[in-house]
Amino acid sequence: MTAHGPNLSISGHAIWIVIAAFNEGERLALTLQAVCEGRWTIVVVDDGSFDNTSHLASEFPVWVLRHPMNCGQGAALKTGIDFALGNGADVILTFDADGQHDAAEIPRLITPILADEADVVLGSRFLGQSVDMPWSRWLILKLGILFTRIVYGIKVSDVHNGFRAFSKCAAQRILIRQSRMAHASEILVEICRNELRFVEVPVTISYRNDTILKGQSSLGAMRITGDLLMGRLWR
Amino acid sequence: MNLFQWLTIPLLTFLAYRELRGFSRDQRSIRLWRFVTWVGGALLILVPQLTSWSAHELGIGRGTDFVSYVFMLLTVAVMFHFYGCQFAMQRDIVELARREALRAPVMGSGLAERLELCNGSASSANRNC
Repeated sequence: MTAHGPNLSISGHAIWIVIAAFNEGERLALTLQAVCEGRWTIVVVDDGSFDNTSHLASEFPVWVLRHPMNCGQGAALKTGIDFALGNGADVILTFDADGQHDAAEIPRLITPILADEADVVLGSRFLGQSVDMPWSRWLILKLGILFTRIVYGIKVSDVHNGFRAFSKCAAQRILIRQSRMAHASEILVEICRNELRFVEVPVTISYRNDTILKGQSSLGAMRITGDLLMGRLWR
Repeated sequence: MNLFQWLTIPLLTFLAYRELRGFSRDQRSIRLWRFVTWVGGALLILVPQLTSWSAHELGIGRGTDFVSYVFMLLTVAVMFHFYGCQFAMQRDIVELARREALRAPVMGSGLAERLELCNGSASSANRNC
């Protein structure tokens, strides 16, 4: 991995957006249409999709990386973050491929880092707005928040929100070992372990039927808990 | 000695001897565990009263109950061990896949022009694009 020349930047800071995608197809195309409007470099990590995700992504002005097999969202984000860091990123933002996030809110997450008020900015749907969130999802997320508070002692209003931004320093220090969905909790633990400054900002998450079907189930929440425990045993 | 003892004890002794012989070469801890298992098994078959005595000492009751409890615990331990091995191997495979992806980045359509445009304006606009 080498530096690939100039970066798109804001106030001299190279902003990179990392999008992990697995079988996202048309949803990714809509997401990229919205995200490509800004002055940032985008890297899409195709996590071993069976559909045309890679092909669709390569039709946009973005970097495309492809895992030869499905490794999980945590691994895909790590790949994208490593690539961004290797290419001179100053601020790295993670964004969901399925169109649940609002690209217009990206500057809200970047601003605290550019102003050196925080090392990590976490989007929170509970401070912001959740459109058409099913009650079962609300319950799972609230249990996740409670679990994080009891087990790790971390007080945040949203634990599994993929809309977050890291300074270069934070991205270098945060080690993502969890390759699947447990990475979200792991990132919070790493923030505390590295004593990084973080703020939460309100964001909007829009739920649609197709994204709900693809998202986390109650079984997924149990698997995340299991992965976290196993990850602690086998470091 | 009965027929079962005649059949199993030489086999277990041979297996224990093999572990001892290879002990200096590699996998010392695994070989030690296996040696203890074979010798323990041989002893329990040779002196069946040992299980009854152990069960009585532990307050379990019958020797067969003691054997089944030990077997259950060992099964859980072995399953846990193999799950850990599988977990570690999966992590290694993911790392390989990630490195493979990082080796071959692809530029999407229009990215080169976008970056070139940025490069062109960099000298005149303080590298902001």
